[in-house]
Formats: sequence, structure tokens, C-alpha cells
Amino acid sequence: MKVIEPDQKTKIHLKINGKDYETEVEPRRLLVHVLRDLGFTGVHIGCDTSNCGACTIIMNGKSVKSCTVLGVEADGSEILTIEGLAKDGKLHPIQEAFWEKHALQCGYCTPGMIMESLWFLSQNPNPTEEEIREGISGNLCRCTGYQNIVEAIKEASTKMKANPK
Amino acid sequence: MKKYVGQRIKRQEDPRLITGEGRYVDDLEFPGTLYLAILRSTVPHAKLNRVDVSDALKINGVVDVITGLKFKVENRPDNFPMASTELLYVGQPIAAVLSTDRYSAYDALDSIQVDYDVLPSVIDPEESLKDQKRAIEGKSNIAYKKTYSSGNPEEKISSSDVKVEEKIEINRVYPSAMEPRGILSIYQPDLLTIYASTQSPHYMRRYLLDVFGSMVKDIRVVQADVGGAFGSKLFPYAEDYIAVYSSLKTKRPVKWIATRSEDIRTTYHGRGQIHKVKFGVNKDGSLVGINDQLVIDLGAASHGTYLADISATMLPGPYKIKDIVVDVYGVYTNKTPLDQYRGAGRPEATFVIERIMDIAADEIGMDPLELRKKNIVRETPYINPFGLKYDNGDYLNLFEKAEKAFRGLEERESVLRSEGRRVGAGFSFYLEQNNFGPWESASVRVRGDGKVIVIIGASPHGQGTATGIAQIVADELGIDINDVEVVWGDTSLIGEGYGTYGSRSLTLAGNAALIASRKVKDKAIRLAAQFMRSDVQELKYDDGKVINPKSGESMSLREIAAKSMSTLGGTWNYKEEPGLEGTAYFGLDNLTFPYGSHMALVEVREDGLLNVLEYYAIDDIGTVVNPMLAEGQVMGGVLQGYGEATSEEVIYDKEGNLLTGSFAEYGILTAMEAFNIKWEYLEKGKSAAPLPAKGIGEGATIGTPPAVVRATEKALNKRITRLPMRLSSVI
Repeated sequence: MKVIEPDQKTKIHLKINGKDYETEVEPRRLLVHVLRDLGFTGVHIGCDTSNCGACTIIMNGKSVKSCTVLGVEADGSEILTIEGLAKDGKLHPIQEAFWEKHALQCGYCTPGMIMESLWFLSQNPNPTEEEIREGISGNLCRCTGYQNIVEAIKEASTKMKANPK
Repeated sequence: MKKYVGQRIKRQEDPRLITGEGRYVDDLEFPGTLYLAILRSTVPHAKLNRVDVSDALKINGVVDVITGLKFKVENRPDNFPMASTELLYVGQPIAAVLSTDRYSAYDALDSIQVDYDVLPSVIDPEESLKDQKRAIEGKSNIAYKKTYSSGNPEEKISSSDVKVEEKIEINRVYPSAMEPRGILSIYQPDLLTIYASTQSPHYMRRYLLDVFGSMVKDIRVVQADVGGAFGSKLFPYAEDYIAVYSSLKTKRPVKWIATRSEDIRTTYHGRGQIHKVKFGVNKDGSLVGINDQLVIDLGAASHGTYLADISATMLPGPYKIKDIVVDVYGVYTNKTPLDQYRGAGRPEATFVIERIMDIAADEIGMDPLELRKKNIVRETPYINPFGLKYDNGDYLNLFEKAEKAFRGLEERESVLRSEGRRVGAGFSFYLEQNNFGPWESASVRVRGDGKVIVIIGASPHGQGTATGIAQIVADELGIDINDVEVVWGDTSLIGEGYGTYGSRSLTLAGNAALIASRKVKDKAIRLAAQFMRSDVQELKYDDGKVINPKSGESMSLREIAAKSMSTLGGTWNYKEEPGLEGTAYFGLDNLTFPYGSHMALVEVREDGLLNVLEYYAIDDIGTVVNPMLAEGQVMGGVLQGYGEATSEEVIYDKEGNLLTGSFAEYGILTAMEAFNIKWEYLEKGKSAAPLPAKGIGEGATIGTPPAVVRATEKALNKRITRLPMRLSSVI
């Protein structure tokens, strides 16, 4: 086992939005801070108890709250953040739907909400309203009352079925 | 020609925010930035003896530790922005660590020794009112006392058919913006640049210069993207002063970002009122007199007293009550200071008067809508007993529309009840007061390429106001909305401004932008007269062009702009000043008074939680510029109001420890508890502005709690007089 002294850093390797990054981090540093330090500031911090979901990303194909993962735990992972979702300047259907349906106001919860929706729709491409509500229940929004977010996810699911990748 | 106003136009704000390219204050980095972490009181009340920071200074990365910082700021405690002699509430700043890294800054907090002697704390506002134990040493607990009185309520109540007494409690809530507060202060000799999560950069500049004006020539404040505020990011906070002082002292950029736990302890809480009401109602349904003792739980500072004034003066609501007295007491407690939260005094007033209406109806056995109609103001303008002038509206018309919808809910209620389900339908009617001024600014500037930039003094943070104002300007100038860009939030962009609060921005900044656009049109005509060699009187502006109806000649705004800019060098050979800009400042001589009705059909489940089966709201807010944005405000506001009625409550134990110190304990609602809302609007009660809007930012947090409480009360057949309802103790 490698022993790391206080104040000492260790090297980790991450593939973020398709590009490779190597960075030195303290073992206690949270993944959310590592990502933000690397410039992925679309990954937000809204709480310190893993309740809000503003820091939600996709790690190795699953949605995680990046405040509940240490940077060193993520070593070798493939990560997708909100910054990597639009391709060649074209918005993802979920992003389109959030814009179309007025599913955001202040926008702070939005990146996490969109990433969670992405994961959710990959698991359940045909959700009912009830299932959508449950699917995003780990992501808090204070502005919208969720109604338009639910609408947007419904709309995105329809569009994604019509145009599968 | 109105092409955009009134339409559901998609937001110009969104492309950045849905791609992760928003720039909230914590996303901004400057070389050499120091991170500020704050040691806070863990006890509600104590005498502070000594703070020893010597060990903290030894931590690797720590540059400085600041203690005992003291500035005089109106209505703030003597121990502000840091405690130096007395600890007044859990969360109050004691010391600040500046370090090169966020983690080491928080490490260093653990190494600070604080020596204090615990003092008895005052937590219950009614206990505080007795003024036996002191919340702040050497000060009476009663920080504020005022009586609002009209007519002869005692006599009217005593001669009324039925007399009722109730205690109505409205608990403290935490505004819960998803982005915690934060500030970045960047030092340069003579100029500080501040990026902040604020509702008003202009106001922030003014209050910071009041304190630091002798240490720096100017302060430029830039509003970063703001992750929600709901009233909580407007007024001065201790951390603003600590961060600014730290950057002046260290000559480095200093960043402070609240953790959620810090934010919940220090962002000013809202509501926190107790009303002991006595009222009299006659058998015919007329409400004849109200006597209210209003106690507002100010916490450890006195800046929240104005909220009680708003609640007292708005207590009559949309009803013709003449004989009314409100005795206001503002009391200190050893809690986080109180200030505004979305609605700011009007939700409290509306909850009390709407409870009175329902209870009065129950007491005399009358339909509560009939009783309201009996008392409703039928002609506007109307001067209420405390001198507020209700501007313009047809309350009864909206009421009757709402009533039709509500009778439908009642039918469904009785069907479901006959199936044995605990279902109830509740109705509220509210009158709001908004567009708190005094004025707002806007500057409309046409660039050489014909693009129009609009700078506003308001500082929206999620409402979508920029899109609304782009709609107004594009219509007025007759141009494509995609050629209009609205910017805001920087004190260096426009001379002065106020900000976004009190449901004001679209009306005040929007009308300033409208008037500024008209100035631009006038100027376009004068320039076109030169370019077209016409008389100014012969020309008119229509649909994006200056035209000469006689000759048929015309020049578009874009052409006029381009011609003004055509050559670099040379001379200006026209008898008109170059430039296509207009700036306007707009204020109204009265507040505006929108109104509306909310109704809910709820079911109390077996597990004691609520399901909302149907929810419907109808508002009259004057001209609606963008119904999609307005509806968004209603949807979000309803859920906040529902949270306040059902799950949200800042709870302290008897000793003053905060029990709801994180999002794990403080219950803001998820999509699971949320429900769908149907919304409609009328545009009858217009304001006196050229574009006669009112405002919808807060209406739903006002209308919702009384409707939900009434519905629940009917489902359970038990009177409910508190927010939140704490159903486990009701059932």
C-alpha cells in the first residue's frame, strides 16, 4: 500500500469528455473540486451533505454525485460533464428540451439535473411522469417547481427515441 | 407594432446555462487568490473572552488570520462583522483565515482557540417579549414597537355578533437559493473589483463604499451569474465586509464561498411572525374589526423590522375592513438575523387575513367565498385604513372567475370524500404590493452594425428579465429580437441603479428601456433627416425604419447606424450630434398592487403526508410581457409556498442550537412532492407605467400557503393556524 503523508499529493489520471488529464491531488480532495480545478466549472456545489445533486456527472457510465467521490477514487475513470454534452456545437436533445420548455431559471441546478436526466433516460427511455419525478428526486431545484423540468425530460425522451444515436 | 410583447419567447439567458458555461462567483479565478474561511460561533449566546489564532497561523498555506473586525453598519449588531465581545447566534463570524487553498483554510479553523462564557439565550420570541433574559447584553429585547391603528376596532369587535381569538404562527424559513452566497474581492491600488452573488451590485457598491470609502477610491461591483436569491442576497452581510477588508489588508484577491451549512446558519432567515388576533364578524358575513398583536422574531439584529410594517399595513388585504389595530413588536432573539424572503411581509399578512376569512366563515356557518365577496373592495383606486392606495384592478371580476373554477374543485372534493378519502379544497384571494422603487435605469445603445445593446440597472438572477426587456425594446424599435442584447450587473456599465427585488424589474427597468428606446427613435429621426436631407417634421419612425411618407424614401435603423460609422478619420459634416443612444430612469409615484387567487385540492395520505390532486392559480398582474416567464415564476413560487406550508421550518432547540443545519434536515421539496399547476392570467388591473405591467415574482408565495392550509384543514376537519402545518401533531 502506498503511504501518503499529510500535504503530499498523488498523481491521478482521468479521461474527461474524451480528453486525457493527469493531475496531482491530495488524497482527501473531492472529485468535484478536482473537476472544477481542471476548469469544468459547470459541475456545481450546492450542499455539503450530498442532498442537492448540483455536482452530478457521469462516471464510467453511471451518474454519480461528484461530491461523494474522492479524486483518487476516480483515478483511471472516464467522466462526462455538462461541458462535454453538446457535440460539434449542437445541443443534446435534453439541453434543447430544457431551453424549449423553460426548465431552468437561475441555472445553478441545471447541469446536474441534465446529467441525471441523461443517465435516467439511458435506463428508462420510456418513462411515465411518476418515474421521471422519482428519477430526478436526488436533484434539488429551488426555482422551477420541477413542472417544466419534468416536461422537458418527457419531450427529450420522445425526441431521443425518434432520433436514436 | 407588437411582435414580441405578450409572446412566449424562449430565453436569451439559457444557452450558457444549459452548457455549463455560466459564470457563478466560485467559477471565477484570479492569479494569487486567497481563500477565506470563517470560524463561527457554535453557541447561541456567550461572552467572548479571547480568540487565540497562533496555531492556525502555523498551518501550511495560511497567510493571515483576522479577528475582532468591527465596523459600524446601520441596524447591525455592535459585534459586526465579527464578534469581538459577545456571541449572539450560532453562525456568527468570530475569525477569518486566509489561505492559498480552500482545504487548508478550513483546516486552520480547527486550530483556533476560542475562550468564552456561555450566557442564557433567548430563543422563543414570546419569551423575548417579556424582556426578562436579555438576548443582547445591555439592550432591551424589544427592538421595535409601533402601532398601526384606524377606526375603533375594540368597540366594533365588542358589538359584533361573533368574536374570535386565534394565535397564528408563521415559522422561520431559509430562502435556500441553490447557489450559496459568495464573493470575490480583487485588489488594485485605488480600485477594488468585486464579483458577487448579489441581487444588486449598485447597492452593494454604495454600502461597501460607506465603510471602505476612506481606504479605496472606488469599488466596482460585478454581479456574477447568481444561482437564485429570493430576496436573500440583497442586504449587507458580515462576510461582504470581511472579504473586502481581507483583500485590502493582504493586497490579494480574496474569495469566500459559503458551504451550505454556513449558508443555512448565516443567510438571513425569512418570515418568523406570530399574530395574536381578535376579530368580530356579524351574521351577515361582514368583518367589522380586527385587533392584531404582531411579534416579529428579528434574531440578533434589527434590520428586519420593515417586514412587520409591510405585514401590518397590508393586513386588511383586498377587504373593506376599516376598524383595525396592529401592535407591532420587533424582538431580539439569539438566532440568525431575520430579513426578507420572497414575498417579504405580504405572505404573512395574506396568511393572517385569509385565515381570518375562513375562520370567520366557519364560525358563522357561511360559505367562505361568500364571506370574502361580502367584504371585498369593489372600487379602485381604494385607500386602505393605513393609507396605502390600491391602484387599479377589478378584484370582484377575478374573484368570480376564480370562484367558478373553485366550485369545480369542490365538486370533486365531495365525490372523493364520499369515497371515504381525506380530501379538501382550499381557496385564497390575495392582494399584493410590489414594484418597490424608487426607480430603475436603462440605456439603449445602437452599435455601428445595427446591433442594439441594452444596459439595465436591475440585476436579474434567474427570472428571465433580460429576455422580457429584449422583447420590449425589439418591439419599440421594430427590429429582430436577436439583434437585441440585454446586459446588466456591472456598476461600470451604467451610472446608477438599484437591482432586482420586490417584483420590480420588468416594470421599472422595462419601462426605463422603453423610454430609452423612444429617445433612440427620436435621435434616429434627427440623424436620418440629415442623411436624407429632409425636414425632421416630415419624417416618422415606423417598424424599424425612418420614413418620409411624402417621398417614400426610408432608412432602416441599421442603415442609419452604419452611415453614422461609415468612415474612420475624416470629419462629421452633419448638423446633428452623432451617436444613437438613449438613457432613461423610470420610477412610479405609487407601488403597484397585483392580485389573484390560488386554489388547491389536497388529500391527506395514510402516512400523514399530503398529495396535491389539483392546483390552479389565476393572477392579474397588468400587461404580461412573456407568459412563459410569468408562468415560470408562478410554478416556482407555488412550490416554495407549498414548502412553507408543509415541510420547511428553521428549527432551534430550546437552548438555541440549530437543528436544521443542512439540506439533510431542512426540507426543501423534491420533484416527488411537487405537482402540476394550472395558471391563467388577466390583464385588467394595469399599472400607471407606459408599459402597464405590475409584477409576478412573489405573488405565488403569497397566494399559496393559505389555499393549501385551508384545503388541509377541510380534509382533516381541524382548524390549522400555523405554518408549516406540522401535520403529525394535527392528525
